[in-house]
Amino acid sequence: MPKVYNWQIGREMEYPYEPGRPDKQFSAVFDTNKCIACQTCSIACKTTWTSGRGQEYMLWNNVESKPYGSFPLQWDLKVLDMIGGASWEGDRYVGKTIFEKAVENGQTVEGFLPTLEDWSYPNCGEDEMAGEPLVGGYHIDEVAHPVWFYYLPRICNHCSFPGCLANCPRQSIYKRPDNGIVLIDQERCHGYKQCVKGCPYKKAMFNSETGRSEKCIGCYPKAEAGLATQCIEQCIGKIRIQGWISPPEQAREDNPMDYLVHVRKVALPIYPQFGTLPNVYYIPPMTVPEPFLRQMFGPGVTRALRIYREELPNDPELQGLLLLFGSTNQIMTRFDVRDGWAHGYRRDGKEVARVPITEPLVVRPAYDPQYDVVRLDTT
Amino acid sequence: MTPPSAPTPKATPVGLVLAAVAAVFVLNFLILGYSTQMALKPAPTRVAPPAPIARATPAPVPPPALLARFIAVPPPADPHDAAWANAPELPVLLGPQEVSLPFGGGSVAEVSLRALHDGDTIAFRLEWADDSVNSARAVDAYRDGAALQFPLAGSPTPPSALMGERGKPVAIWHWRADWQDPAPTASAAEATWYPPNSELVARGFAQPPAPAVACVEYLSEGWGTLTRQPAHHVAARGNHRDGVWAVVFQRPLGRVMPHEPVFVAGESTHVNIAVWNGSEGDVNGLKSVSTSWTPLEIEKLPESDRLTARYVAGALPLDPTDPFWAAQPAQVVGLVPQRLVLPFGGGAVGRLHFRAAHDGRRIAFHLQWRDDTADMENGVDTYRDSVAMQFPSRGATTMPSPLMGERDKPVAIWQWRADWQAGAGDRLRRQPAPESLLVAATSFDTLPRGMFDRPVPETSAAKFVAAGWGTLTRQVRQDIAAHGVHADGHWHVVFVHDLATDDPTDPAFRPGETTAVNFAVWNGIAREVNGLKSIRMEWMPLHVEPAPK
Ligand code: SF4
Ligand code: SF4
Repeated sequence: MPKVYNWQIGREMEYPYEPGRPDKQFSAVFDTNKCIACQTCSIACKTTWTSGRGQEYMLWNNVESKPYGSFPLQWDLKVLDMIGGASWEGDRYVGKTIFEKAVENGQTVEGFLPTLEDWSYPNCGEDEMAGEPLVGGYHIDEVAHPVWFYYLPRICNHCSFPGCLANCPRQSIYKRPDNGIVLIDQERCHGYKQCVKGCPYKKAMFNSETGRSEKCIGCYPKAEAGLATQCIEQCIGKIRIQGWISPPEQAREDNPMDYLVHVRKVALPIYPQFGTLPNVYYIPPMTVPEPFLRQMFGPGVTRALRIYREELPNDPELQGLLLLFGSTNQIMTRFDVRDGWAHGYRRDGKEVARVPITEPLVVRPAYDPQYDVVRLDTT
Repeated sequence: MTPPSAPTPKATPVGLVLAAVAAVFVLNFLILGYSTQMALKPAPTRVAPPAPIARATPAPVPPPALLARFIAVPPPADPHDAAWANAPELPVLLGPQEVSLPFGGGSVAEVSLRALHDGDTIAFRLEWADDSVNSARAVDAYRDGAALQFPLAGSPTPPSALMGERGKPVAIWHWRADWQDPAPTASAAEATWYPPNSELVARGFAQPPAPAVACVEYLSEGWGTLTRQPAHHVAARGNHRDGVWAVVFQRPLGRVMPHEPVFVAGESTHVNIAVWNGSEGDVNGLKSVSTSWTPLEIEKLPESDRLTARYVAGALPLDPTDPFWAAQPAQVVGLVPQRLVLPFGGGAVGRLHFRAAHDGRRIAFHLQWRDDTADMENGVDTYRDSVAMQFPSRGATTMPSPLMGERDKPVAIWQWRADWQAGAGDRLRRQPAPESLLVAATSFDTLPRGMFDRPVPETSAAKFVAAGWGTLTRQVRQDIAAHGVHADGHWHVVFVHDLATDDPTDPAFRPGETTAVNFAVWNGIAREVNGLKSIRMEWMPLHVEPAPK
């Protein structure tokens, strides 16, 4: 099997195909600290792409509460269990990826096929808290809260080494060379469900009406037009930003994706130990105990949390970029922060977003002389 | 290591309660005048365990193998059927279980093992001396039982013979005398005082798991990991006669669930044995067992070496149940699991019955194989039954690879699928589809017709061309008729096609000449799809009889 270098696990690994880098790679950063689980993203996707027969159960975008929620049920715990836990030595992953584990068992990709029941409870575990029991008069006065949960919005990660693609025996799945979006060719697909089994994130789904598998298409018609996906554009919490990510050695400081992932390293891959090199990155929730976050986002959480908790308050550049999240429906390829304002630019250099780091303070006096009224704060 | 000595029994409050319950039972028998046979039966006398068997020092030669002999008729379920005389007998020495606590057993020194198969069903017969029948489900007694253990397919070397090991599971078939014919422990009146706990039964806690199941299938990955399989496909029947237990275990030769042992005619695997003697208090680790595997060879099927499409004048019925087909001679085709290209798998179907006929214009094939369930749904988590035939394409100048052809040497493939036959009208879908959820166009409206897996509406088969693994491509012309019927635990599928066409990707059927054919069968309930299929490794010659001028 060819060897590929996976920077997220700090080493080479085996993958069934030679590495091939697209011209641009679809990427997004989700700030989990801001998600309110309103599910606007899920519905934006659902009404756009999966409103047909056979797609009833599908949520290409879903939002689950961690640690107890999961769609499909237990997807992540099952895969972690199958690869035998996951251990790191520093930034190097020393456990098995889904591809390496599969070799032991005479398979291509280690994975499982969820049952229909597993797909049937997308809100299971919603808002359930982990940690110490609550007692009367309880105060939380530490960061990393003793009781906690958080929301994890998820889409297909348009991985650089996709598990879905590796496990398809018909080569029906391909990565678009222009934008790295991973697609299933509906004409070649024979409905073997091997991609459903092979995707560790369970973002490939079977349509029993067409007898074909389907997955998130990264809203590629919008990407072609320089626009963000439906789920990213519609996000109420402005927790999301979409862009093109470079490989670490070509990172550009003024590229929003590169800055968050490679330069400041405040956004982290989800379950990098699976080995697929997912391209959706997460700013980890600062209220959650670190061991759980290390399991989900890898050893980078210590640094990411420190930057978010300690450096961000005094770092206008990072503040500015975080404020550009959700500020435009266009894909920003460059940003800068000047004189208290953050600016975002699209590919042709045109400015598409401008936000103040500090919102101007407006004080409205209680008395309005123009209308000769006293303003009530109930209006 | 010495086993801990048994504590001296003491009168405990629990003991008093039990005594009180027993007194109520006795009273009940007296009052209601029930047959006292059971109450008066003397407690089984404890016989001293036989002296430990002197075990032979291990010889360097491999242990003798058990041959599962092929017979033309279904292997008998009755342990005393005369057909068992056809099976060679293999004595296997057992000893006490001394590896994991609780140690014990050893009262059964030897079992005699036999096996038979007919290509559809495999049966094992176990016989051992035991002068008492212990089949009561009682608070203070144990029952007779026996178990067979097999490695699952896919383990290159067999796992530990003592209940498998982590990552290398074994399958265990456990027959128990009390599951088969429970000696009555409860009177009718008692049953009204203590109605069966239907909730527990519904959750599968009942022993045995279902009425009339005398054998339970387990998976084990080492001591203490014994886990019941979700379903049971092994039938077992014991018979105690003249101080000897004889038990027959039967299963379809092909596996029904993914984690069942695969038996392939012409190949070998392993078997191990454990026996429990109720009168000795045997249960759990207290058993007589062999510490090593016994090799198991499954005799090859007497296959046809050449298949024939007979010439007939008259109609070729598409209906597999038409008497025409029963009148044609059946030829036997043996199948093996697909083990060449990932994903490996198959092994659920070991044998096909083949019939073929042509009328000089059309050619028809009738395929029949054992499959206890008709799996018609291709859902989110289900797979469908299917069968495919493969022929060299007319355009292939030399013989292509029998495994889906090769570059420049294409093969023609015809595939029938149960889910296609089930059709869109009576589509079997458990997935809820409330109309109100469908806010926009349906998939049917948004995808071009050609994108659906059924090439033509209302068809149940498709024609493909392939030139190697992963190149399966639908043919432009879809002129194939096929129909399947599931009856008596078998699929019967008929394909009908023109003898000659002008399409070079079609097979070349020329009356008077011989071409070749290969097969693939998928069993949906065993989660077979794609490369997980039963196939032949070589072509089978197919002779098309000459048509009269
Ligand atoms: S997240 Fe899953 S479906 Fe998406 S590219 Fe990665 S492996 Fe494929
Ligand atoms: S729309 Fe945004 S805030 Fe709402 S659930 Fe989705 S990601 Fe979270």
